Amino acid sequence: MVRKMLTGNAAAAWGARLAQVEYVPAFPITPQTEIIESLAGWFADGALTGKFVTMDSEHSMVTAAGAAATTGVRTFTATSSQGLIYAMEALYTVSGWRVPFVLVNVSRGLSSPITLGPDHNDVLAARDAGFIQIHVETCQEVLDSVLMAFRIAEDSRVSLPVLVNLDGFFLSFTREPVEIPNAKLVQEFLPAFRPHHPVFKGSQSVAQGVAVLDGAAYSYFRYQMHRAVENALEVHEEVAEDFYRLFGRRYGALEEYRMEDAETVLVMAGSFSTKGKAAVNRWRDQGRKVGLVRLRLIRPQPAAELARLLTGRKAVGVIDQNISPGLGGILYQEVAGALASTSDRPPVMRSFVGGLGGKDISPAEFDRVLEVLDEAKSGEGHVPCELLFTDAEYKQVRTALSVAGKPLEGRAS
Amino acid sequence: MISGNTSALTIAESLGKASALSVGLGAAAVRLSGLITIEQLREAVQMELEELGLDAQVIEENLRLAEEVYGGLENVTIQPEKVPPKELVHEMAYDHVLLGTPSILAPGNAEARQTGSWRVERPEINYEHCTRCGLCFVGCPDGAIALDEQGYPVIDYDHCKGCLICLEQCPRHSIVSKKEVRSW
Repeated sequence: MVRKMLTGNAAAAWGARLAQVEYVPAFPITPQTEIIESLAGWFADGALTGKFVTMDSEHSMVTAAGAAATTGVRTFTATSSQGLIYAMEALYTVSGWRVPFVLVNVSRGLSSPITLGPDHNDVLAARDAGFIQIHVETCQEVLDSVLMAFRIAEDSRVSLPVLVNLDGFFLSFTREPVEIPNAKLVQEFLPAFRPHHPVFKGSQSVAQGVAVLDGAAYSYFRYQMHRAVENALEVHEEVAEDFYRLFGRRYGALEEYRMEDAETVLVMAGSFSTKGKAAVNRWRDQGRKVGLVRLRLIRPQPAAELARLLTGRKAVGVIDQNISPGLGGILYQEVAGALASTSDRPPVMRSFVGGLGGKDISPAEFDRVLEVLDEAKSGEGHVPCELLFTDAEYKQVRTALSVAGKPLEGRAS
Repeated sequence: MISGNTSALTIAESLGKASALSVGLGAAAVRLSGLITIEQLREAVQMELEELGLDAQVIEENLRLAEEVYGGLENVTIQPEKVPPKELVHEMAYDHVLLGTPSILAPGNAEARQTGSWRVERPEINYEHCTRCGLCFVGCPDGAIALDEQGYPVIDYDHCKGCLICLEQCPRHSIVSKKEVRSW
C-alpha cells in the first residue's frame, strides 16, 4: 500500500490500472483528459498491456467500449459533459447489450452557455440509460469506486456498465492523499473478468444486441435490465463488505453524516457534500441537531434505505447541483418519490438548487437553507425550488453584463 | 352481416387477394366502426394509393371495391362477450443474464423469419434470356437466390426483400422488377 497525493483524475486512472484493464477507447475533453493521458502513458510503457485506442468521438468511444466488452475483455473509458451527452444514444444501446465495463464521468456543466465548472446535469441526463451510477465525494473514493464498479458490473446478477461520477476541478484537478491499494490484494478483490454469457470469439456463432421488433420481447429485455440495475443494490453491499475486509474503507449506498439525532437533514451528492458536512459541523457546534445524507448510489436508487433515514425527521432540504428547467432540482424529486408512500414523512421538504457550473455554495448560502427549513410550515404544499445565489455574485454577473455592453438603463423597452 | 348490393362472394374473393387487403378490410373496418363516412373513406383510399404511384385505373378499381364493401355491410352493434376470458398477468422475476440478454446463440435461424413480406419491388427472372452466368446468385446479399440442377437461378420469395441488386447485376437485363402492389 502506497499513499500519494493524487488528483481525482489520477485516482481514476490508478483504479483502471489496478483493475488491469485490457481495452481503453478514448477521446479527450476537459476536465477528463488527464485520465486518458495517464492511461496512454501506462499502455506505452508497458505497465498496462492491451489496447489504448483514440476514437473520433464519444459516440464511437462508448460504442467501442460496449463492443469490446462483448468479446469478454475488461474495458474502461472516461468522458465528461458534452462528451457524455454526445454519446447518449450509445449509452442506451450498449447497456441493452448487458455488457460490463466502467465509464468515469467527470462532471461539468452543460452548454449553453458553455462552461467548464462542474454540476450534475450531464450525469443525471444519463440516469435512465441502464448504467449503474456511483457519485463520489473524494479522490480516494474515486479510486476505490472504480475497483468496486468492475466487481458490480461483472457480477452475473448485474452484467451492466457502471458509471463512476466525480466532479470536475473540485476533484479532477485537486490533489488529496490517496492510498493506492496493493496490487495483489486488488487481484484477490477483483479476479480476471469471466463473462457469464457467450461472447464473440473465433468459431463461436453468436449474435448479440439483436433487433426484436415486437413489444413483448422488447418489454422483457428492458424490464430485465431494470431488475439487473436493482440487483446492484445487493451486489454493492456485498462488494462494499469485501472491500472493507481487504482495504479497511467502507462505502454504503448512502452515506450518513451526524444523523443519529438529527431533526433537520440536508441531502446532497458529490464533492460539494464536503461543504455540506462543514456546515453541519458548524451548526452542531451551535447546538443544532442537523445531519446530512449523501447520495452515493444514484442508480439503483436505495429507496428503502433513503426512506428509513429520512422518515421521522422534522425537515429535509435537498440541495441539487443541477436544474431541470420547469421542474427544479432532479434529486429532490427522487427523494420525495422515495418518501411518497411512507407514513411518517418529514412535514417539511424543500428543494434548493446550488453550485451550478461549479459556483461555490458559501456558508451564508447553507445558513439560508437552514433558515428556510426552520421557517417552513408543515403541509405548505408545493414550493418552487430556491436558487442559492449571493448578492455579491449577482453584482459580479451585472458587472460582466455591463462590460458586455448591457447596461439596462436607456436600453430596455 | 353481409347483404345489400354486394354478394358475400365478391367481398370474400376480393379480400382473398393480398393487394386488396388494406382497401377491402379497411372499408369493412370503417363501416363497422360507424364513425367514418363514405366520402372520408374514398379520400383516404385515394391518398394512400396515390402515394404508391399506382395507375388511375387501379385506384379507381380499388375505390369501387371500397364502396362495394362499405355499402354491402349493415351497421352492426358488436356485443362484447359476457364474461371476457381472464388473462393471467405475469409477475416477472430476474432471469439469469444468459436469458435476459438480446442475443442469439443458436445459429441458422434467420430462415424462420419470412423477410419476403418486406418486399415492395419483386424481381422476376426472364429464363428465356438467362445465360446462367450466376452473377445474381453471387450478388444477392441475403442468399435468397439458389441455382437449380441446370444452373438456373431461382429466387426464394419467402426471403427476397426486393433490394433489386440482382437486377443491377444481371448483364443481360434478364431480371425485371414488378410492383408488389397490384390491382385486385
